[in-house]
Amino acid sequence: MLVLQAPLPGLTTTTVLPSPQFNDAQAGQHKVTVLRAMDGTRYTHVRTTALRQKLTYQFALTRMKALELCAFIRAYYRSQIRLTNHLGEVWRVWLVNNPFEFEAVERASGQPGNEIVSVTLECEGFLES
Amino acid sequence: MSLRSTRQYAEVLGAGDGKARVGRQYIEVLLELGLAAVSITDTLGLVQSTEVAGPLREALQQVVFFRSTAVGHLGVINRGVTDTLTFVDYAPSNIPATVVDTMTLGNVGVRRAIVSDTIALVDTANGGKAGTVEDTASFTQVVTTRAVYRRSIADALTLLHAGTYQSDNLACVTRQYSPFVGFSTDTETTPPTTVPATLGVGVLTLTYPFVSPTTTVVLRNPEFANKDSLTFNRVNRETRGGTLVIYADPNWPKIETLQVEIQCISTGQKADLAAFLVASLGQEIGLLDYENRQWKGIILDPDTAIACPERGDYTVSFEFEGELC
Repeated sequence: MLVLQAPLPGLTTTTVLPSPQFNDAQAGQHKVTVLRAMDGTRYTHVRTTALRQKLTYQFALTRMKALELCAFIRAYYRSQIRLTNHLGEVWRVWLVNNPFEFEAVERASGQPGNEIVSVTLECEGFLES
Repeated sequence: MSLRSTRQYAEVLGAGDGKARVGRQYIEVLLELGLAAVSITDTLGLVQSTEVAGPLREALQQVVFFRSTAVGHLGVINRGVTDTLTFVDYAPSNIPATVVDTMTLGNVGVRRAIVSDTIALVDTANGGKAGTVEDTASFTQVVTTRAVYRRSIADALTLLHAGTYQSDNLACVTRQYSPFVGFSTDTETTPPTTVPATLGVGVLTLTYPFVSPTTTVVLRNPEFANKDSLTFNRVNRETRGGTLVIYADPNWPKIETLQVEIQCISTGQKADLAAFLVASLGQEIGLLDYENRQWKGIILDPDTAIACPERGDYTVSFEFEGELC
């Protein structure tokens, strides 16, 4: 499962989500510009973001859980949050989606809300532990 | 300036010429002060010497007392009072002797004057035996305040505390609406702890105008893949050092849009919807969605096509921007 807690540092709200679907991703935000001189010498200009990483998770949530996530985003879209992912890693991140899209993808009888909602979360931040 | 010797004490050391000495002498300095005098300088040079017939140590003593006062009258300020006194004592003897210089300077400055005492003591012990060279200086300076200026100092320290919790009931927390909202003394908003009360099952109903509606169009529920988008105005910057800074004022607008596609619209509904789009062009309408949630907003794409993929079967998709009532 994946746990979102906010706001930092005074954590008040905890939202527990199921584990994300496959294709979750972690990427650095570094940029490299390669320039080549007239004599063929290659120069690289690097813009580093230290240890900041971008995390991408896609969830298939019940309609009720999607409403909970929506309420969490409404409350803390401008706050730094703590994210504990399915690997047990603790991250200190911002939610950087814009917009946040909740797409009702299929019917799910018997599940809370009777629907499955697909949501993608994009976060940028640092690994705490 | 003139000097006047008031008293002299002489001592006879023995018979013959040069066997007497002046042991103590009191001298007064006579001053004449004029109103135009700016500075007063007294220079007094006292030289005393004695010759000793035998291995007899004698003490030399000079007593000089200066008292200079510069009286400030109205309109006369910043007068300087300077006392300069130089003692040079020399005791020639093979036997260690004690050379003592004692000086007391007392200066009083009024009205932001600089009160400064400067003493340079140089003692030299010349002798066959090692002597002790010791300088002792004692300074006493007194600054008397004539006014007290109070400065207020304020320390604002705010302590906040917050707490949250989490239940391990996985079946609950992964499916149901169950945010764990603890407590906080901060003014941050928190999500509601209960699911929206109006969430239910209904149909899609469009009404115009929003207040006191006169036109109503009832459509089927939208197909799956309908989207509910939240867009926030945020300042998202990365500093030169690579730090990500995200800021948003809570009063900045939050835009929520619904994208729906509705199929199987009858011919009558199609005509009603086309008329509705024209009538409500750019105006706020009411939208009661399939979960019985009432929205207020506008249709962003009134030029949407009402397509007819089959006979008597129409399809439309539109985007609605609004907020929950």
